Amino acid sequence: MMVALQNGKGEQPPEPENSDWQDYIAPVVAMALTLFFLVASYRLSEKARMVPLLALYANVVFVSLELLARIPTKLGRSLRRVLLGNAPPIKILGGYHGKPLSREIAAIVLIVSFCAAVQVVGILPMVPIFVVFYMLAWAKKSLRSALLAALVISVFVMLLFEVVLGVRLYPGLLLNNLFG
Amino acid sequence: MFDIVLPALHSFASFENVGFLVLGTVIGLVFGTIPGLGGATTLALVMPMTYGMEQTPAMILAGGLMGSVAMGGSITAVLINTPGSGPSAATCLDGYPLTQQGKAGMAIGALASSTAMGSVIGVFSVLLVLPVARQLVMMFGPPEFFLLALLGLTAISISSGGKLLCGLVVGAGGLVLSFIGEDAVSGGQRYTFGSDYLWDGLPLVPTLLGLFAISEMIDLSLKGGAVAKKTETTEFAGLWEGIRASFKHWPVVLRGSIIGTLEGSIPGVGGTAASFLAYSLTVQADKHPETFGKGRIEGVIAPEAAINAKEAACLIPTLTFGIPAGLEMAVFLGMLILHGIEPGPMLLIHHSETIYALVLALCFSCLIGAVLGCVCIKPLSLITKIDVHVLVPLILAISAAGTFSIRGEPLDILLAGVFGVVGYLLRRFEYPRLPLVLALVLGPVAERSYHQSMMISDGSWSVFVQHNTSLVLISLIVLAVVLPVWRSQSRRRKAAAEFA
Repeated sequence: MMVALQNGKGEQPPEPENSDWQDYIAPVVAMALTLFFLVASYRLSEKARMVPLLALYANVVFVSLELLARIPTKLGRSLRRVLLGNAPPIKILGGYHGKPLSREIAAIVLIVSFCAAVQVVGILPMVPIFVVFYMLAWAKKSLRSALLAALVISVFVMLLFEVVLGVRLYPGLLLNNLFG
Repeated sequence: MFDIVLPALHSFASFENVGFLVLGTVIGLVFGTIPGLGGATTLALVMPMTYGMEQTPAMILAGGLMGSVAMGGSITAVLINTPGSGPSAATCLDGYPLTQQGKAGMAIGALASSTAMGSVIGVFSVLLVLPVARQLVMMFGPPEFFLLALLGLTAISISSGGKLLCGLVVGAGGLVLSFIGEDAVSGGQRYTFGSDYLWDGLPLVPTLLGLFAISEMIDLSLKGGAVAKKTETTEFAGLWEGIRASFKHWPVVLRGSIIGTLEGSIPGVGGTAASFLAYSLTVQADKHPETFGKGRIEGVIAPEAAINAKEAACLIPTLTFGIPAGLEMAVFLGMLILHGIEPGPMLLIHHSETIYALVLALCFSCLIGAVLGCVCIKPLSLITKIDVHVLVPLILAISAAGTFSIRGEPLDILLAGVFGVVGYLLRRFEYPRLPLVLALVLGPVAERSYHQSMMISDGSWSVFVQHNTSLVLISLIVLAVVLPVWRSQSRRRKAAAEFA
């Protein structure tokens, strides 16, 4: 037995830890989304909803099985072994990459804010603003490196798209409204 | 075959044509590295510039470009986990973990050699198949297209590192997302919730950029540091080892090339499906599927061979039927017409030399691209040593501009951002992203083929078992579902027996 364990071949896969509420978040959200689309499907014509319904009802079964697999019962453990590869429960409160959950949420908000702000400010004006903000506030770099990075990235994007490719980059709602 | 190929080969004796081949290859390689700018955009940009050129040099330039654009996209996929185009996304899965382990040289070497081998196999298949292409495509009716799409979806969902259910949930969810927009059958709108933007469905490029590039930027901004975990060992000493790996794993190359050739020759299936299917089948065929996604060299070789074999095979339906196999081929079709070349069965009679020159250019371009990729590996390696806090805003800016440049639609940038969050959350909650991508690509094909099949059979499902091709495909689907579960169970039983 020891030889088998040393070889890493005969190692008995460990039983997963018991799940807590964090482990159910993803399948519950998936179920909510599936049911939302399922309800929306019944507003469509019979022909238009035929194939989507197949996918949606299949997903109801898959998500239900996933929920069952995450419940620490005998059946759940068996399902987890066969259908979830004995995966350990998911933890979110502990953060990710050694960073707290608040930092994780801030990173998501930061990147989405850039994509949203581009709609108003435009691509070329938004790039240097974002680079300076990101380098100073998020990466804690010096003002000099932030300004240098902003200059280099902005010039590179402008040269590549506006000059080489001849693409007129989006000026944003603000500039569009000001200058037509 | 040689009586047609030799005159085409003679075209490359001209200095001018070789120059256009190299120019096309360099353009493809450079533009391919930029996320969001796939072959279609690059080809569309170059197309007006070829207007005054002769047919053969123009086709050689186009062939050079189309042959190397995927290689450029795959280099960034390996080095910074940012695929230049959809198909290269499959290369990220094991290519990037190799870079993180300081084995970027090995990954690039394997990428280059599998690119070259896949391309040669693909071109050889095209040269064999082109004269009899009509019969080949006629074998596939709507039921076979539906079953093929289903096979792709099944295979990808179960190659989720043992997490079968997670793969199936994401795959089915992706299918629903692929139905957003105008319904091809009834003409009505589905799941648009009053938004005009969603009328044409979810555009693939912003979705892919979000799922892969932007989600990675969220992750990188959290991690900090350099892209490569072991920057001091990100030397390219493993280049030859990588090149040799493709020869050592020749069955993986062959399987990938066959998948690429088959998928490429079927209109609408496209390169993303080919590369992910090749990856998925390689995972399934391996004795240790759980080690994929953590830096297996076969995970780089399989999709690359498929992508480059597909590039050549895509020409089959485009040239013989005028049916573009994908977005890039749709643009190329416009280029053919611009140069007075009418696709169809008569094409090989009237323009055989030009067409075979194009096919050879595609092959030579992959070979040149592979060499250039290896030669330029040191400058490319610098990308992995950049502080991620410089890389994050740079990639975001390029992704935003690249996304916008395709359709001129600013909301595409927002969509990319939304899918960036979706991609990050999938990764965070340990769900695979592969099934979502494949479902988005194959969903419309599957639905269209399903409805066509039902119309043919007056609503009877027997249409799916009437032909031998269908039966083969059904057997493959059953095998794709049963085999991984059976293998997982038998491995478990074996482990338990050894433990006891």
